[in-house]
Amino acid sequence: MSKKMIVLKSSEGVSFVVEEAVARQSKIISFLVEEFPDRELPLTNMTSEILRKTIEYCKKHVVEDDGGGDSSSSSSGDLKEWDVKFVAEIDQPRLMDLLMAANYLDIPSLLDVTCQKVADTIAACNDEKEIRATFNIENDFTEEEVEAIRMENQYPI
Amino acid sequence: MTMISDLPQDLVENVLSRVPLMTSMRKVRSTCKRWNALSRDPDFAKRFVKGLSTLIIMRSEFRLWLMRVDFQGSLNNKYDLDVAPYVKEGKLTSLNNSDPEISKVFHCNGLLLCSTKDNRRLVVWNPYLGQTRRIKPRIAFHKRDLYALGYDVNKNQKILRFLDDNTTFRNPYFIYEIYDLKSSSWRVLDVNADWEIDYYHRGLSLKGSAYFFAKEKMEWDGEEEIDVTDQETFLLCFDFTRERFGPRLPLPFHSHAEETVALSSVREEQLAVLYQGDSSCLVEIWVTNRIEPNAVSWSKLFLSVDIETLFGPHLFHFAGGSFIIDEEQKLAVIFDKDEEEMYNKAYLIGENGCYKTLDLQEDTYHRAETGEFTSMPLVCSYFPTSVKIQQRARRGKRKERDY
Repeated sequence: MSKKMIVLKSSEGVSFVVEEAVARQSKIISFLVEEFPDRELPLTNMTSEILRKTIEYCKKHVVEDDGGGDSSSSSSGDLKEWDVKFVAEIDQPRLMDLLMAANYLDIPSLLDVTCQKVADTIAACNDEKEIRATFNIENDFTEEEVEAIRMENQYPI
Repeated sequence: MTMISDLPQDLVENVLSRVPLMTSMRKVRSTCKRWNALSRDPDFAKRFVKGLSTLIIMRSEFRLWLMRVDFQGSLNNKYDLDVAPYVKEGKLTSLNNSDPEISKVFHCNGLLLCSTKDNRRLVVWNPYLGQTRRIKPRIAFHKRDLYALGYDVNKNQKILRFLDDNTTFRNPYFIYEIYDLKSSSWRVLDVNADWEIDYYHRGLSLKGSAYFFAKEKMEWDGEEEIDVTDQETFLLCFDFTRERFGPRLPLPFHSHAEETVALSSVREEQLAVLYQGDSSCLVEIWVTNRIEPNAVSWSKLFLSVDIETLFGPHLFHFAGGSFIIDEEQKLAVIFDKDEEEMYNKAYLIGENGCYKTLDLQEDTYHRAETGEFTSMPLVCSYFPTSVKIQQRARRGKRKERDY
């Protein structure tokens, strides 16, 4: 039996042919293919680069249902390791795009790993200056306000 | 290209709720106004807490440590004796070299009531918000003071202080008083106690009330020895709404002086009690089915382990035995000293001979520098909340106009 394929189109108009089972990890796509079968699905807010990444993730995480009992392509430990490597290779701005894509397409596990990666990056920063530099965040505090926060917990008792 | 500042609110929340805020709080809040405001939002606090595994606070070597409980991780590494059922997140009071030495700690709904080792300072502290309030005494604080923090039906925060110092027989010293954070004043409580609570038997808070292990008061003429075998032991609840102690609540065992009895809270809903007799290596733990200021019912024995076969003969110190339990795995971790009473240790015990001992691996500077034996390590439950410490109500004309 041949696998059912669907077409996803990026914002640049590039088409990606994907197995339906792979794409269905997105709850939105799952919904769309049922409403509009045999249609090309335009994802106008996703670049080809991000869409390719998202598909790569979904391919790895698809649970193949070929009738066999233990059919998952990878063990959960391997998958976790793969996930860590997957997000580690993405630079900061693209990670944000991927996080947004996971949110938009409603892929909970991808949202999970991307949010966690951002959180870990924040936690690994030494101070607020490093956080701001890493994420390109503008410092909108006055000196006094920063000092007030610094004073909290400084000498609590 | 998307920036973190372009993310919608719920995604920023999702990300920040995964940062170990308790220890990264300052840098996260100092990053920008948006993050600062978000991390103090009560709804965010709830979400943040939901994502957290159980936290406890350990006082060890007069410092407070925040620890994440991880029984599962320890179980998965049954034979690796270095894998502890907890992970030290960080020192709560390490932000300054001159951080004070904490001797007493009591947790209630995200607020900590701490007193310093020199007995000069008593402070209410919300470590999550970084808010503190120092409480001034009416009569100088005492090393044998017992404190409890709680709240009444109107969520007014109050502190119970009592001192029952009968060690100086000829001149016993009693103080029972309550501090109202709203009015910033102490009031003497009319307590006619026919019971006593040892100063080392800390209470714990459940739903705003404080519970203590207490025993019947025995009259002592100061000379002859008295027989304490029949001395009744029970739980007592202090109700912060009625501002009084409730009736004696039965315990599932009988103990007498200098045996190990310790309390622990379970999911902030139930109470667990640990008992070890003074002539046995049997450690028993019970959990309540229901507990209220004037009623208690106990489940059947939660855990019963003869630790002699595991660690050799060991009696937990009568002032120690501070513990936590994991209901699902039927495990307990008891914090105490080692045999020589030199180093702080954690003892993991469970059913079917499951056990581990763990070094608490802390700075031993105290002993090295002062040579003094430090007190028992102790733990209390903790969960971060954005509950604000009540400030003194404003008085005078302005208030009248407001209403």
